Amino acid sequence: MAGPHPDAPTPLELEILVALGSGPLHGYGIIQDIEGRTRAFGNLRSGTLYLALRRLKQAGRVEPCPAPPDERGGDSRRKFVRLTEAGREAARAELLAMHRTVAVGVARRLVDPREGG
Amino acid sequence: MTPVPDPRRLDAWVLGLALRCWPRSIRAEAEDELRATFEARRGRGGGAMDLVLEGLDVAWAGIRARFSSAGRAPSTPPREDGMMGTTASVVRHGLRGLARSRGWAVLTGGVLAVGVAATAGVFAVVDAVAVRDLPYPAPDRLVRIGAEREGRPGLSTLSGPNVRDVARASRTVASLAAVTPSTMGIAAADGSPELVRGGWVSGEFFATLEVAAAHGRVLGAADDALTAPFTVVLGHALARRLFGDEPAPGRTLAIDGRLATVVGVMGPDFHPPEGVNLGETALWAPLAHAPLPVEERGLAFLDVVGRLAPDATLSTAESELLRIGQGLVETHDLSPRAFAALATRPLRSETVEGTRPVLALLLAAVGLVLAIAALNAANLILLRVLDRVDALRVRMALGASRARVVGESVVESTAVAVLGGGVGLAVASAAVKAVVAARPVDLPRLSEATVDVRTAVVALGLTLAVGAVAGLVPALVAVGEASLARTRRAGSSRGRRARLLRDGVVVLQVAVGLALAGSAALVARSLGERRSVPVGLDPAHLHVATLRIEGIGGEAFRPATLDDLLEGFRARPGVVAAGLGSGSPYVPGGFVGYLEPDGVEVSAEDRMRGRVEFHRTSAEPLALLGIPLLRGRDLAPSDREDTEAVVVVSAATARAWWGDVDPLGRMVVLGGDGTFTPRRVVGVAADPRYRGPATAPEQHVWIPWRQMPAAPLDLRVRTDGAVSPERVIAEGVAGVPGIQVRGVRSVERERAARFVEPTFFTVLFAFFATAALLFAVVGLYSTLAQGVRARRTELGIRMVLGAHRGRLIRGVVIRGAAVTGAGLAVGALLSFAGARLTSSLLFGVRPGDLTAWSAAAGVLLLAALAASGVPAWRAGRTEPVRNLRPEG
Repeated sequence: MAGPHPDAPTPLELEILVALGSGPLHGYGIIQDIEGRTRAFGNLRSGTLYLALRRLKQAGRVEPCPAPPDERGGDSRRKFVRLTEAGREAARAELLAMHRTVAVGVARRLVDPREGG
Repeated sequence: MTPVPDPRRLDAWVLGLALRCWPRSIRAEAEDELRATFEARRGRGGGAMDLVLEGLDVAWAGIRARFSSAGRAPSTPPREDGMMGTTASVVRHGLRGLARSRGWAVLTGGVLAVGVAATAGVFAVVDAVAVRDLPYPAPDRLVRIGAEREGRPGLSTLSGPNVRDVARASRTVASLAAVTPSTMGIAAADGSPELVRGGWVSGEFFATLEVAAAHGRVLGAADDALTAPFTVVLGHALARRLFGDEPAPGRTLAIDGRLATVVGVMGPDFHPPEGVNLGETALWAPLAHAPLPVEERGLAFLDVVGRLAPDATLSTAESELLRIGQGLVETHDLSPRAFAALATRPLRSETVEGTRPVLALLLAAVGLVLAIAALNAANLILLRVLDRVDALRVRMALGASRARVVGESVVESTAVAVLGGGVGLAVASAAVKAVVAARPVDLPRLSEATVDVRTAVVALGLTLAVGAVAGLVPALVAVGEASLARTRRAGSSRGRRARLLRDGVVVLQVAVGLALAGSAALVARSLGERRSVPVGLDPAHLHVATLRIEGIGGEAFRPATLDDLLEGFRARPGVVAAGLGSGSPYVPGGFVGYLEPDGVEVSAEDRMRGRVEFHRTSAEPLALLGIPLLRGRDLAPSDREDTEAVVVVSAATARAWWGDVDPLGRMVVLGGDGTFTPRRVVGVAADPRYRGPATAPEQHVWIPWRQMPAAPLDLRVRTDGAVSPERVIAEGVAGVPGIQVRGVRSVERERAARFVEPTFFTVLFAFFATAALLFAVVGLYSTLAQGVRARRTELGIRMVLGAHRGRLIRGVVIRGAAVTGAGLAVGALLSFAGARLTSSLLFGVRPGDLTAWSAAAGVLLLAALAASGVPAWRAGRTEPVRNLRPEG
């Protein structure tokens, strides 16, 4: 089920927002970041990623930005994106909600927080 | 052909294809980014499967984007996408290319249109006549039941008591109905009387067919009893004609002078079964009320249709009926000549028996036409792509993707194919309607023929496939080569391959062309032969009706009465001629005997073998029937009871009985008329060939009816074709007391039914074969001409190098002739194989007829010479340097 309100980011969108938490990234950078943290999306493929990025852009949660200094000189077709304030806020709200859920789950002994990691 | 592809190229190709799925509005924006990510992902490796999945993911995302908010146009305007276009732009470009070369499009589309029109039209007819199920539930369970006779083919009719016994005894036949067609004189309360073809049917008729009435009810077993009220069910068309839009059930109708109540009307889709001779019947009344000797076991005139029981098969029914039949023969001592065994046949095969081989041949001819059309169209499309290879290369060099170039080619050819196919279907639909309306030949179920959805789908699908494949394959080949960046070298190898392909196509076309053109020539010659045999009679608009004259020798039978009757007919508008005669020409009602010419010895054997057909007739029978008079005179009104007895004989009769002696003026006794009256031969007529031109002419003798008064005569009326013969005849006798007419028959129809002169099919076949020949010639011309055109550069170079002009031209022509010769050889083999098929259609011409075949081969050879000669001459005339310029 989607989140409590229609604007809640999908799991993939949330992962993208989280990936962008470290700073501007291009598409393949995002894939690398997500695939490095989770296998929840299997092989995250370019079409799927692009579509999700596009939705986030339209929702105003990410925005195009110039390439960071250390990335200049790379493939000029790569478009970098970064979080907007709205994106940061959406990620925060969703992560807080998740955190609450996690806290309850821990309290109810569904999970031991030491398991993760 | 394409060597192991560069993996990066393959990646780009897959991505290019997948990108086509993205909506145009956001594709430009998405492309760079997608491409970068895609390449980065692919850069870390992964097999072919991974590539496919990656490509599918991009494609699927594009499709989702079309239907989600992500597909909304971005706020920033899209950049121009340059050479990388979208699907819509591919289509647009393809169609624009088409508009630029309208001549080519019209030629290609036209070829396909003719092919589709011919195929769909003939398929619609064949489908209705031979393939489509009979329009009743579980049609395969319906059978015809009848008696086999000694030495006669087909099934005969049965008598009423025999039908009843079979129905009672059979377990394999669940339901069984006896029917017999009849012409009925009918009149609605306020309408004028008319004659219609109807059927007397037993009470089980509609139940056996399992059909229901559209309004009211059908006849049931309760109606089929003498004690029951006289009821009738009308066909849709007749009900409309009689009662308009008012409901027919409950109305009263006079049938042969008796009042019947209409209880039901069938729907417009109901077709009475032709297999039991009910074709084109318009109303159906209970058999019990028919003025027919239904209870006579010796009189077999009932057609029987049955429905097999659920657990029965045709073979179990067959063996059971055989047993029942044997019982009937033993119990009632039936003659094996009239009743050898009881048998059953599927109703469907009974319906179309006899027309099947002709239809199969027609289908084969039409299949060849379609094959040639498709071949021609594919060839034209192929040549166009090959012609444009250089242009394609330029475009690809400028950055157009392979997919785009191939896509445009496919769009182009598919659009042409669809247009051609659509036009062809429209033509076919109109043509079939016209044929059904004109009914140029008596084919069972022809009236059901339409170009329906199935035909349309099959025909369009076929043309689509031809168009798509013909556009796709050469484009792929061309593009594959173009992308190999070995243009210089590839040029020559492509040329060689294209030439080989072209030669192969020419050989094939000439072969098929020869087979069809030869067949067409054969059929045309056969038609000529057939025409050259005089049929000896003009059946056009000639109708025969049985006269019922009350009280032989009574008032109505007086010659003056009948003379008045004929005079009355001749005065009616629309009547060309009228007369009396025994029977109709094709169903003779006279008797057969022998002659005893005065002074000629006639052996007992001659008498036994005498096959002279005697016709009692009113004056001027030859004039009425359109039989030419060779010598002497026609029978005249002055040949009466009190004048000298005279006859007119046919030429074959004269030859058979007088030999070389001219019979004119000689006396003859008609063997078998019992009077031994000597009669004088006053005329010799040309031979009417009632059995068709293929058999020896029969012997006929015409006798003035007044000089041989006997059984009832038939009325013969020739109209101008503009009036309804039924109406004219009904009105003509309406005022004459004591005379009624029954059963108006068309002599044209009887002739068509009697000897299946395949004129219609012959003409149709000749038409298709001619169309095929035309195709072959056009195809040949375009193929060879384009081949020569493609070699213009080579010719130009050779000319610059000093080759003699005439020699170049000769070389080209010889080359064309050689290819054509190979085609003719293959075609000869093909025709040899097909000769058996055509022989059944031929008359007076052998399948190996040299004239026909050499004519066909000559036409093709001439076409080949023209095809290669004209462009070669043109190439020779232009400036050599101009020929060196590549085409754009």
